[in-house]
Amino acid sequence: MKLRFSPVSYKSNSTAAALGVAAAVMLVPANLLPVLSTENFGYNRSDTIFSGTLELWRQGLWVIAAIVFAASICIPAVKLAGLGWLLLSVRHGGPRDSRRLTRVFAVLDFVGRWSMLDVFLAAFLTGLVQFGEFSSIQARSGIVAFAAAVVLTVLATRAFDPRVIWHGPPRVSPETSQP
Amino acid sequence: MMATEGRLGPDAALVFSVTGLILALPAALLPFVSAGKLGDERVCRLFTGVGALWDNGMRALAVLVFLCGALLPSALLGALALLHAPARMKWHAVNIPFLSHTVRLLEHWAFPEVQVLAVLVALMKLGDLVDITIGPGFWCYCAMAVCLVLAQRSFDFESCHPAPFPCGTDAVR
Repeated sequence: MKLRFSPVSYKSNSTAAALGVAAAVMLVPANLLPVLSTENFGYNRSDTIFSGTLELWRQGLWVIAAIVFAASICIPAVKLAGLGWLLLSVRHGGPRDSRRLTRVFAVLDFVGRWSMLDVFLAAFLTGLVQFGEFSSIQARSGIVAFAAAVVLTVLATRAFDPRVIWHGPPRVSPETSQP
Repeated sequence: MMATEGRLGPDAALVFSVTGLILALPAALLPFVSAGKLGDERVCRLFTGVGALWDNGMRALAVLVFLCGALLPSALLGALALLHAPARMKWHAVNIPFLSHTVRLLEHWAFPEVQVLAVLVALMKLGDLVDITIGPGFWCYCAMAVCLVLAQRSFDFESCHPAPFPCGTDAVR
């Protein structure tokens, strides 16, 4: 059996908007709740995404802090802002710089995956550092919210159809709109 | 013909995808990283983090990490190999449109290069908290991630399936 794909399949940009809003909502607990807790010789410490990045900076690991800051804080925010810009641009119609908007979409599509860095980081550290009462690292609920936000932003970008940047939103004919 | 348009020569995508698939096995089985603390040593493999998250009750997160870090990259390599193998092996039974669509789908959810960066960041972050030894599994995983990127770069979708794709992202590539 061979699958046949429709040459034109307009996706719902309202779906992209809804997923984007859901991702924005999930980013609130993701940034407020702790993502990792560390225990080292009885000293306990819980870190949010931002406090963890700040701690790396204080330790002098500036490059690592910059990478984590970019992947976990900047990219989700930039991605949501960019998606919002794209959705507003195609919604209002009228003249627009389609080439630039297409580039923006391509960048958003590429950078989104790097937000998973913190999720992989938490999984790896949770698996590796388990030395009982001497030293241990546990993932906390914030990382679940953050992973949900990342998945939702990827789904939102996938739901957005970049062809409407060039052709405008799909027109619904009067015949098809009748119940 | 498929895989003849790549910059690295004919069959480059097939070679990279098969190499990546072969490397996936030691990456999953061999020690990834060993950590020592006060004489106690803990060996971490690719799925150790997934297991720890699962045991902590974060099962959805464990499944996500397992899919994006291990299963889907291997599936993507397999799909790429299957796309290229028929031209080389003179097979005719492979459903090219279906495989092309699968590759397009998997590309958005396979993040081995992000996991490599995450492990490097984690090793830097641990600092002197524990004594770290990088194992062969990690190097195999790095090589697999590189092979996946190169296989994707070497593959020319248009020569394989000239008809327009239904995916929304195709318009910008």
